[in-house]
This record gives sequence, structure tokens and C-alpha cells, in this order.
Amino acid sequence: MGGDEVTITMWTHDVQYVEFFTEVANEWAASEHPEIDFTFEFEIVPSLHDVVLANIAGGQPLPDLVGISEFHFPRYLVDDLIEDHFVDLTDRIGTDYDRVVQGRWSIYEWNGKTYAVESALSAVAYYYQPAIFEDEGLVPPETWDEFLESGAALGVEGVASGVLTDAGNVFEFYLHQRGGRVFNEAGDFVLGDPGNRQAAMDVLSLWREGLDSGAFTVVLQSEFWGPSQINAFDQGSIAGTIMPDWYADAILKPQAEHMAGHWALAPMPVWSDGSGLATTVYGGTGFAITKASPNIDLAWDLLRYSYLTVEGQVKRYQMTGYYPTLFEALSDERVLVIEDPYFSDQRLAEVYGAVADQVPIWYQSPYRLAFLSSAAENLPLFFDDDLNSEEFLDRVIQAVETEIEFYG
Amino acid sequence: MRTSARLTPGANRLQGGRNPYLFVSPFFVLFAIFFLVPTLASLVLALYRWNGVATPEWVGLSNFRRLFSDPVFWQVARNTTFYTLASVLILIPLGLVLALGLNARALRFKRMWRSIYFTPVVVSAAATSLVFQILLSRDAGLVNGLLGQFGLGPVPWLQSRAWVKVGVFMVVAWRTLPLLTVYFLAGLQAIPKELHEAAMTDGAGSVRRFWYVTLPLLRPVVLFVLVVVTLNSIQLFDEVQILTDGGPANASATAMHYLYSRGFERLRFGFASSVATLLFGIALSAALVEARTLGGLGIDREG
Repeated sequence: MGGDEVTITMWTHDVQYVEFFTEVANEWAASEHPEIDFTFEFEIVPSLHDVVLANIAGGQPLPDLVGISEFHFPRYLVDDLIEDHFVDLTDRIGTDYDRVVQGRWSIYEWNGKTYAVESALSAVAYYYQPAIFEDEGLVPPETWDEFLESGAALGVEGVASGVLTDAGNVFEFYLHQRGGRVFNEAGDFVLGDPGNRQAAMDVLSLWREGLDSGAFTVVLQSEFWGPSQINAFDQGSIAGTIMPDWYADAILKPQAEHMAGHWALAPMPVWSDGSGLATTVYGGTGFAITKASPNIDLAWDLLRYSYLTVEGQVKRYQMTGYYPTLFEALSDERVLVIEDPYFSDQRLAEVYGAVADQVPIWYQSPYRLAFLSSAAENLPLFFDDDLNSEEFLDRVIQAVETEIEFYG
Repeated sequence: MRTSARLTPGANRLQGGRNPYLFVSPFFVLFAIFFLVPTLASLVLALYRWNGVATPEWVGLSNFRRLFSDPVFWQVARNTTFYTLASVLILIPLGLVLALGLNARALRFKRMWRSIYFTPVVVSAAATSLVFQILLSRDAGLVNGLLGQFGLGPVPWLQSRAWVKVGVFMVVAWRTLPLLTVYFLAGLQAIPKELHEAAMTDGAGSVRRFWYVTLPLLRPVVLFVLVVVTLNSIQLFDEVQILTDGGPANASATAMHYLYSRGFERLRFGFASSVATLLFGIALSAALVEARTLGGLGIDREG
């Protein structure tokens, strides 16, 4: 613990975290540690993880707290870098573990230890334009079979019901919803195991059928997050998209402000045979504490106050739009009553809260980036029907196994 | 009247001894620190497995074996060759034509035109690429909007494996062409006017003057431009990373992008070094072949 003057530093990629932590940190300092004169240095660092890893390599200073996105977490698992440079939070988390959706812990776990606390539920739902469905006398689908059926009807009119893209983690999140996994708890590559392979084949069959009928359309990554897709939403050629909770505030509202009131949220379609989960997850950022920190206990206390209390999570949701991960916060009235005018005053928390306990539990590996790259590289070939489902899967599995064989 | 100057006793010492080396040493010190040492380190690192933090582990030629057995590497090698050939065969002649135009006596407001043409060079590759990502958008982009006015398109510039290299090359051309034009312009302006006047007196038309006066005297500039364009193409990264991240399906990926995604992102610095070593060898060989083919720089070796 520091003396009278303590500086807490944090690096992140997202300005919303800077704003949130700045506000909460001052509250925390005043209420929990009035005896300490704090200085908070919370910064956005471009190419954050390149900088952190370069600093680790060069023995340069690291902040107390780092916001590690789940996408970049595998980089820290290479040769167990995470164990050498970040604090094991397992014991500190203690019984709070059961208060949080487990799937939001598992993605920051390695060798049985937890290294970061997640910032958002990141649950996936179906964003759709009700008017398009109503015009065709359709209702938003609740199952994938219904999605394909209504999607085919809309597809005849040249309207797609969902969008696919060449991002490995989009394929991954559909796979997770189906109940499949790419890596197990030990970090072993298990996509080739019969159950996981079958789940992957089911997802690819769904995609193939949807692409052939027009239920799904493809927008590749180079245009997925930009005006091209927004334009398609606006023109009504895409009726909906299956995306996570942060998609609204990060993409839709800033780029399609004029479409306020045209959107609604429905639960993600589920598999008709009853297997799989009600939702999945896409994205997320966990805050970790570096071993280099001279203020580990204080940094943890701030993190606990911000992220493992109902008040902290409610405030985070109110300020950032990132949904709570604490069960109590998800059912908190202050979260539930919020009506989003962009979605015609719909209470979006009711949608996410209903499926929070279905968030998949999945695990990371240093070879996850190899999997994501290989999937991304081969998806365009699958979309163009140059590869069938088996060929796609075989290529991806072989690429990862080759990587593991070389570096394992 | 005698015109020779009286030299001070110490003047001869300026021309000999260690002083010349002292004067040129700053460049070589910096060259050694920022180029020579890292290059040698990379050559050595290519024989190791290293995550950037732990102690490097000797693996011999394994990184190179992995590299040459990776089908993705061969794909990006073909892509890089495409960008290089397109740049050499299209941008260099085009740059010369533009320079000839900007140097024409009949052109008014020369400075204004030259400034306009040079503007893309001062804009960063990142900013240019971000703007072009919107311009080249299939459904919302200006380029397809213009093509549509003529009943053409829309072309999936960044969404199609067939078109994406063309889309990326358009952005590369936007940034590179003005620079090449400036190089050629400088070369054209260094050609003595008297030579053209003499050729005109002998009855040579503009084509013959270009072929027998301009082009031979531009040879050093052509060689310089050729080497610069080749090296830049081999190292192409910024535009690819921002526009397409190498996609779709590695159709636009370059060797440098491959080095970054396979090496840096996955903390495989030994493997990244093997790619860098290979690229260094190719770039050096290309530069030497080009220099030999075009007969060197024509510099007076006696200084």
C-alpha cells in the first residue's frame, strides 16, 4: 500500500473506460481511502497491446491496470507471459466468482488462474427492423429454422435477414452458441473432436442454407463496420444483424443516428432441436493488474469497487452502455427500467438479462489467433462456395495443428 | 596577376588524416545503430524461436522451413510480385509522362499544378487509406457512384478476391505517383536546355529529342526511381493493413503484412525475422540487378 500520495495508472483502448474509471476512482478514493492523496493517470494508448508487450520485452514501465481485450488475451498466453507479468486474481476474487456470469471469467483464465475482470456481458442478440418484417407479414424468428424460413421469404424480395462476415470470431461465436468449443480448459485444441466438429458443421450448414436462400448476406470485414452496411440497413436491403450488446452504442447509433426508432432487439434465434445455448458472446475487455505495479492492493481495490459491486456495474452501464456481468446488477431496477429511444423505448436489459445465465463458457489458448486467422482467411472461400463445410473445417483444423506442431 | 590563394599552414590537414572520417561519421554511426545492427540481429534472430521476452531458443533453419512450407506465404509472395510489377510497369512510365507535362514550356501556372500533384505525398498513408476505404465502398463509395453515372459497376473493390488488389493498388498509386513525378521533374530540369536546342537545330522533333537526349540523361533518375519503387512495393504494408487487413482470404496480403500478422501479432519474432531476412535478400538482389541492368548511376568514382 502506498503512503499519503499514490498514483494509479491505467492504459486502455477505449475512451469510455477512461471516463468511467475517472469518475468511479474519485468516488472510491473519497469513500474508501480518504487518507490517501490520489493521482489518477488513465490513458488511451494506441496499439495498446503492442506497447504493453514491447514494454514487457524492454523492461520498461507498465501501468497498474491494463484493459486487455479478449481478442488480444491469447498474445499474453504465449510462453505463459501472463503468469510472469500479471497478477493472479483468483484468490482476490474469491466468492465474487459466483456472482458473475461464469463465461465472462473463463476467457481470462489460464492454468486454473484468473487474470482479469470483464467489463461487459457482450451477449449477442438479434437487431432487426420491425417495419420490414411487418410489411411482409412476418415476425422476428425465435429459432434458426424460423430464421431460415422467414429469411427465405424476405430473400425473395432481395432483403437479407442477417449478415455474415469473414471474421474468425463471428464463426467462433456461432459455434459457441451451438455448444461447440475450439479450445478446452487446458488450452488444448479440440475443434477436431467429434462433438465440436459436428457443432461446427451444423453452423456451416445453417450458413450455407441461409446464403443460398438469401436469408444471410455477406459483408466482408473491410466494409463490415463502416457506411456500406449502414447504407444497406437504411435502404432496407438488410433487415437485421446478429451482434452483441455493444454494437448499438459503438456502431449503430453513431453511424445511423437517423434510424432511431427503426430498430428493435430480440433474443438470438436458438437451435430448434433444443441443444446449444440461448445466446453467445462477442468481444469484451478485462482489466488486469500488472505485477510491476507498486500499488497492487490499491489497484485491486479500485477494480473490485468498480467492477464487482452492483453500484459500480450499474454506473458502468449508465455511462458506457456495457451491460453488467453481475447477476444482481443485471436484475437491478436501475438497469431494467432504462428505455432506449433508439429502440423505440424498448428495455434492452430485459432481453440480455433473460439470457445472461446462458452465456457460453469457453477458453483461450495461445493458438487462438492462429485459429481466428485461418477461419478468417478461409471464410470468403466458403461464402463463395469454393470450399464446402468439410473442406473449410479441415483447412482450419490443419492450419492450427500445424502451428501447434511447430511451436508446441 | 596571380590568382592563387595563399593557404594557411593548417589547410592541408583538412584534406587528410582523420578529419574526413570525422565529418562523415555521424551518418555512419546512425546507419550502424539504426540499420546495420538491427539487420544483423534480425539475420541471427531468424535462427531462433523468440517471443520477445524470454531467452531466444536455437531452432536453426526451422523458421525458414516453416516459411517455405506455408501456402499462405506463397500466396502473399504472388501478391507482392503483382504490386511490384504493377508499380514498375505502370507507375514509373506514368510518373515520367506527368513530369514531362508539368515541365512543358506551354504549361501555365506550373507551381500551382506541381503543388496540387504533390499533395497526396504529404498526407499519411493511414489517413489516405481510411478515406479510400470509404471511397471504394461497394454500395456507398464515390468511385462506384461515378462509375454508375456511366452505366458501369458497382465494382466490389475491397470485397472481391478478384478486384481487391486493384483497389489496393489504386491507393498505392495515389500516394506514390506524385513522388515519382517529382523525382522525374527534378531530373528533367537538370538536363541542360542547350542540349535540346542543339538537337532542335539539327532538326530533331520532340520524340527524337525525348529518345536521344532526355531519356539517356534521365537514366540515373530512372534507376533511382526503379529501386525506390521496387523496395517500397516489397515493403508494402500500411495500405493493406488499413484497407483490407490482407483480406479477403489473403487476396490482398503482402509479405510485410504476413510478417506482421504471423510474427508480431503472435509474438513469433524469430519467424518474423526469417521473413524479414528473406525480404532483405530479395530487395538487395533486386536493387543490384536493376543497378547492373541500367549500367550503374554514372557517378564519377574519382569524386
